[in-house]
Formats: sequence, C-alpha cells, structure tokens
Amino acid sequence: GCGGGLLSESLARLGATVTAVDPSIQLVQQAKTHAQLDPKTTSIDYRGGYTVEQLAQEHQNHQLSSSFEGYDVICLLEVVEHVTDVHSVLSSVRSLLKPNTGRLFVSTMNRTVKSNLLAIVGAEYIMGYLPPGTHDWNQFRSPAEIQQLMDEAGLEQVNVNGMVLTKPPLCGQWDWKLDPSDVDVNWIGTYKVKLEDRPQQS
Amino acid sequence: PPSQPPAERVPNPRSYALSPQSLKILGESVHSTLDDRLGYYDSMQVWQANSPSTLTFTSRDLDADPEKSTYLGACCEDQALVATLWEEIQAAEVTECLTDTRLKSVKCGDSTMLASAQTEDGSIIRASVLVGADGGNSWVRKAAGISRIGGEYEQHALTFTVSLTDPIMRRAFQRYLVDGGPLALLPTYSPKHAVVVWSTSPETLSEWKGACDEDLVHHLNSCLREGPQRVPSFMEDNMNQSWSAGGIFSNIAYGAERVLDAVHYGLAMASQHPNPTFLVPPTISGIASPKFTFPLSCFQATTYVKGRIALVADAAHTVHPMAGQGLNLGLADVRALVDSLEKAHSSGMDLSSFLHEYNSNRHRSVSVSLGGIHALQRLFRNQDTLLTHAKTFGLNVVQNVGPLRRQLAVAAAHGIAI
Repeated sequence: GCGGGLLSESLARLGATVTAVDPSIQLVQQAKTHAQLDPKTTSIDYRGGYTVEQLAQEHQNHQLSSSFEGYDVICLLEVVEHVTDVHSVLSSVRSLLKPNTGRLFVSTMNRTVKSNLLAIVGAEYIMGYLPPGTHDWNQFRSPAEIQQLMDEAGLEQVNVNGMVLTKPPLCGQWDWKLDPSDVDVNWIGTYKVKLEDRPQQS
Repeated sequence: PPSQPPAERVPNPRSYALSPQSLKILGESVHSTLDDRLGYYDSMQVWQANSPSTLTFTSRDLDADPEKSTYLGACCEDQALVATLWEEIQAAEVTECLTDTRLKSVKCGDSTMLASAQTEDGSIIRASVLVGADGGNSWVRKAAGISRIGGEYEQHALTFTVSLTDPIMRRAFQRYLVDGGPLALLPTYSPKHAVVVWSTSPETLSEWKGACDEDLVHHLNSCLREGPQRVPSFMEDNMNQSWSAGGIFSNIAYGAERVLDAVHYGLAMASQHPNPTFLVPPTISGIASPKFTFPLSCFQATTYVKGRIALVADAAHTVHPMAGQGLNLGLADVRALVDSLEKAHSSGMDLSSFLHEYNSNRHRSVSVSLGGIHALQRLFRNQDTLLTHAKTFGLNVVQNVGPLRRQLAVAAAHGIAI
C-alpha cells in the first residue's frame, strides 16, 4: 500500500533498499515520477497494479533459484483499514518476512467512540483534513483484534504504541509522539514471524 | 575568501551587537575563535536628553544566576565574523562553493519540481531548498517575486570608532537626543575604544560627517555627558496660543508640571535597581576611524517562503538599529530554518517539507518585534511635551518593575516577540 510513495522515499533516503507495492496503477505512476527528483529515491522498485499476494507468489516461484531470505522490514501503514481480506495480506506478508530478525509494522486506527469523533467526524467533516468517506469506521481495528489476526497468520506481536499529537495542530503543525498507554485513536504495532512456525516449502 | 582582519588596535566600526543567544547559535567553535575580538558589555544604559529617567539593562536581567549569564551582549566586527564563518565553511563538508558567480534568474519550485537558479553563463543549479541570505537589497527576494511592506526612515545612521580617555568598563550607553535619534556608544575588544552609532537626520549627519574632529568630539561629549534637563514647560510650548482664561489655567498647568517633575525625579531616585542609577559615559578623546553612513529602513517581506525558496535575516526583514536587534533577529531565523531542515532530514523527508513552519513561526515573531521597535522609533522621534512626560514615566516604570525589564531583556536577547 505504498500509495504516492511518501514513506518509500523517506526510507530510501534513510538508506534502505525499497520495494514498493500498491494495487493502484495511477498512484504508483505519480510516485515514480516524483522519485526522479532526488538521486536517493530513483532506485525504489515500484510495482503498480500489484498486490502483496502477487509479490509473495513471485518470491515463492523464485525460491529455489534465489538467495532471497526475506525482507528485514515490511510496512503496512494505514493499509489494513482499507483492505477487505486482511488474513490473506498477513499470510503473504509472513512468507515475505525474514524469520527471527524481520519486523512487520502495521499502523491503523482503533475502533472506538473517540476515534469516530476525532478521525471521522473531526478530521473528515469538521476540519476537512481528509475527504469525507476516506475511512470506514467499521474497518478500524483494535490492537487486540489485529493480534488475533496475526496469530492466525503465523505472526506474533512484539509491541504496540499509540501515536498521539503533542499539541493541537492549531498552526498547521502536526507533531506526533509514541505513547504505549494511549491506543484510542492512531496506533502502530511491531510483529515478527512466530518462532514455532517455519515458512512452508511448497 | 576573506581573511581575518589584522590585529590592529583600532576596531572597525562596521560591527554588530550580538546577544548571548546569537553567539550560542553561531556555536562554540565560532565563539571561541572570535572571543578576543569581541567587545563584551554587562550593562546597557538608556536615557533621554531632557528628562531624568534612566533604564539600565544588565546581564542579570537575562538570567538571575550569576554563573550562567556572564554578559548582556557583545560588539563584533563584521570583518572578524565573516572571516571566521568562511573558515567554518571550508572546514565543513560543503559539496561545492561557487564564488564570483552571478545568477540571472530563479525558479521557486514546488512539491513536484525542484527549485533552480540559472547562472550568467547559462548553467542551471537545482536544489531541494534555496536560501536567500543576501541582505536588505536581496536579489533572491526580488527574483522570486516576493514583495515587502514598510519604508525608509527619514533618519540615516553614522558610525565610526572613537578613542576614550578612560576604559569603557564593559558598559554600553544609548541616549535619545533632542532631535529624537539615539546616539549609542558600544564597547569593543579594546577597552579605550568604542563604536559610535548615531541615528539622526541626513542633514545633521552630513554636517557632522564633514566637521573637523575636534568639533565633533566636543559635540559628542556634550550630547552624552550633559546632565538630564527638565522637561520643557507645557506653557513654553504653547506661547503662540492665546490663553483667554489666562491666569487660573496657567497656574494649574504650572502646578501639574511641578507634580509631574516630582514624580519623575522621585521614581528615578527611588529605583530598586541593584546597580547605581546613573553612570556618566566615558569622555571621548578623538575620532579613530573613517566615518560610514547608511540609510535606515523598516521592511518586512510579505512571506519568508515561496515554493522551495526561503529568505533569512535582512533579506526577509530590516529594522532600525536602536534596539541592536538586526543580526540577532537574523540568527534566530537561521536557527529556526535549520531546525525545520533537520526535522525533515532526520525522517528522510524532502528537505522543504517544513518550510511553511519556518515561515509561520518567524514571520509572526518578527512582525511583533518590528512593530515594537518601529513604535519606539516613532515615539522617541517625537518631542511633544506630553509625550515626553509619558516616555519618562514609561522608562521609569520599566526600570522599576524588575520582572518587566527582565522580560524585555530576554526577549531582545532571543530575538523573539514578547
């Protein structure tokens, strides 16, 4: 779910080798064009009109001939609330993640009254930060629900943090910090491959 | 690249008044290189030509802890500062440094396009962020199509170095003269030399710029060392008007003036300030350098950021030198701009991502500082009697209300609005 490539570019500039995948062809085309502006981002491997299941399949097909051990980091940020089959995505991710050291980051919004008020009523309808209908509150997930889905997909939780604003964004300045005790609205979890489960050979 | 000025005994009058905060922004390395070329001062005494009130700022106003604030400000030669900064540039990991290169156009860029500058020989330089740090007549600001509001002052400034009969003892002085403009005496690294910055009308300036040294020295000493005079009588101001009700009103006016005088003198003498209330500045013995004049203005660019172009310091705003704020405001801009660049860089984001934050922070802060300094300039230029009473009263109040004086000192030192 790389979308327009904002995160992909940041990770590339910070030194990562990035493969970026999104079902949208148009968004990824925009991302590719934008990536040409900085020499550090031109080498991002963008795959538009592509799903993580397809990427998993591709690596599976090359498994015997490549030395691919898995990705060190996989990011699904603000993705799971837009996906219909979360289990399928997580299973594919597990097969792509390096065992032991690989880490999966998932961020989404919790399904609470507070998140409804802030993220939907507030952000979409009152402040107009996002177009109305961007988010379907029913798709929001709590850390516990995601942990359950992870477990079913062979992944286990490392930690969970809320993402909270340090002060109200009065002058257009959004300053976030991590807070393990407040997961009511935005939160981010870290996961890894479950130790007992080795990726299955097909 | 410029080299360090020779270690002459006569300091160059082209100097800046740097606050401790500014020296902190410049960094340890620059500060220690400059240290013996700085004219430190621990106090700044501000007073008027024709009233007894005095306002004295000290380093204690910046920080009550004597360990922490060891000075109020430092006067630094432009040559020494520029040479030191060039040394820093050469020591740092700067990819490319083009000198003797003229630009003929710029493009501001945006989120989908980099900023660019075209040189006179036709080559194009592209950048994530383009910073205009080219002074009050900024070419970058004009080329980017950023307008500014404000105007030139009728006053100009004259600056030159003088020799003193006695050491200036780490004290700065500023007196608002009868014609309104301030006359400032700033310490230098040489204890028996000071820099004079005199803001007044262009006519007065050219008269004294051409005068012989002896006459000028005599005039400066009388301006600085003559005792404060009584506020001119209200009645004298209005001699031309006919007071048909005569006697009674003139008595009342006279009585009111006496009361006001008593109040002013009483407040001045009862000052709670720990230091002595009034110090006579040292006697000037001679003119020690050529004299330089420069025009004064108060301008604020309508925005500091356009696309990927950012303006800092005088390119963004100019101010009357009376508060010694020019470079301090500029360095505060630099700190804020670097913070916004670091914020983007540490997250791997496009460097221009937080330029809008730099703009809203600094534009707002500087607008208030400019407003305050400009208001002060307008206030002191006016010699109206009633206003003089108000100014006298006001100075006395600020002097005596410790917290207020300290707040002003801290705000001035940090280049921020109160």
